[in-house]
Amino acid sequence: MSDVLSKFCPFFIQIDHAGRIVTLGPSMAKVLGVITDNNFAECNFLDHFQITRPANFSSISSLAQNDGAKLSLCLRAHSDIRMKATLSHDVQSDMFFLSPSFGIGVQAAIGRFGLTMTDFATTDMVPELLYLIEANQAAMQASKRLTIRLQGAKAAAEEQAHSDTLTGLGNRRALDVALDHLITHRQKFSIIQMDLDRFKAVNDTYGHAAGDAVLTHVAKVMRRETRQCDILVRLGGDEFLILLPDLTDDHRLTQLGQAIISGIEAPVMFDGHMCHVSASLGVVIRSDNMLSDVDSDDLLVQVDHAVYAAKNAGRGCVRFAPVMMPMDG
Amino acid sequence: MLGVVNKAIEHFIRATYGDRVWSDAAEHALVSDHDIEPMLMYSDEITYHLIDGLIQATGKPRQDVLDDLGTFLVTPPHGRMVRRLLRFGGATFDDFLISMGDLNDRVALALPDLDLPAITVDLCATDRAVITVENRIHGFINVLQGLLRAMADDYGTLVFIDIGECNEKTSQIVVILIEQNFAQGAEFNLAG
Repeated sequence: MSDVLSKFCPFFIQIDHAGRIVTLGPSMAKVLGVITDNNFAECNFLDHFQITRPANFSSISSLAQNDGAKLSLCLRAHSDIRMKATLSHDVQSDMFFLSPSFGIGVQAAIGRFGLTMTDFATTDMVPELLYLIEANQAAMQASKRLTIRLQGAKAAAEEQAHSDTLTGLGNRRALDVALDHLITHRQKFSIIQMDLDRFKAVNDTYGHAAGDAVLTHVAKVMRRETRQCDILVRLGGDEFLILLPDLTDDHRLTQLGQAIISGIEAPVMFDGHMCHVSASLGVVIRSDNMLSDVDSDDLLVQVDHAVYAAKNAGRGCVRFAPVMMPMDG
Repeated sequence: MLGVVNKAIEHFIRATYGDRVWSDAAEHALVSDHDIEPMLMYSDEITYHLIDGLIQATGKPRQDVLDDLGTFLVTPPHGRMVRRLLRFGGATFDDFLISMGDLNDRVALALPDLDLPAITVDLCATDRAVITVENRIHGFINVLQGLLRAMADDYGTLVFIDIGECNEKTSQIVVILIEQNFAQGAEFNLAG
């Protein structure tokens, strides 16, 4: 009988009515660290195992009426290794048979007790389960690596892109390239920088989609009011900038600035709401008689100051940065 | 073919013949030499061109190259994972041989897009098995032959493996078991 059980169920345990282990399957012997032998009669089942289900468990013999009971148990020496088992009571011999299995924790148990494929019954699905776990881990890892590489590629592409995805205007990178070009070729030009007024209120009141509609509107006004050769940039948030090659006449720049402001002030309808913003503009002029060692950072700092001057002057207006005079004649 | 096949060929060429030969093969297949993504699909032609490029660059016979590829696939360090997954097929080499009949199902559980040719295993005698493979991927039979030889070695089993009958639809590999426990075999730890 136990030979048959050993093959079909190598983890079986046979217990007598007094709760003593009578025989063990070879794999369970490995788990308990004993050699399957006859001198097992003295060994008490509950010395090795703790029963956690049924809740009101008192002794093995109390389960005699409960043939086929489901048990949850763990090893006293390894309380983290949980097992489940069916208990069967053979009335004729008054013997109990238990068929423990490790369930989902089988991987940990195999590592702990050094189990091999031959420790499991031929029909046991454990090798297939382990195969599946490892094969899936490998496939998941490969997929994860692909995702990481794609994310990296996307970030790199965004980094290299020269345009702002919402408005289609140039971005900081496009500005740097154009500004460097103008400075190295000693061309005269001017820069208009603008900050939107009351933009935060639109965003907060009507949501980001309304804010995006306003930004798109601003970009449209900028395109309408400027020349083909001008470089239009969204610096981020509600900050914009226009690079105007060859245009250094302050009167024309003021007119242009005011045209842009009135264009921006035209209300934008979004989702039934009137979104109303304005803009404060700062201008810096780099005329051709200016020193050639003025770098782009200086100009950007100056134009930024001019924007603040416009804001301080009550918003919705244009202010010029102080003219940079040549050092000597 | 799933990119993992091309990636395996890349590892094989780089490890066996060096980066220069890989660059030549990649150029022959018109792929960038470090852009193969294991989890994306590629045209079958790319795989064939990689092999053709390798044969051209090394001057080695096609069958030898494919046989070596099969061995490489299951030989650590690069083949550690595939070898391990295959060892789940059985505790002994004959159990493993029988499990090759489930190879497609096993592969599908992990990589549903890696569509391998159908494989059937017939045990003709206790010491003789015939493995029949659908002729869907050129050269697959030679790769399988190299792989089986390496796995027999891994189990410590002495076998004789040869290409058997081939027709339009299928090709066969004949495996003759000479001694099951010929050598110690490599250790296989279930828990990993």
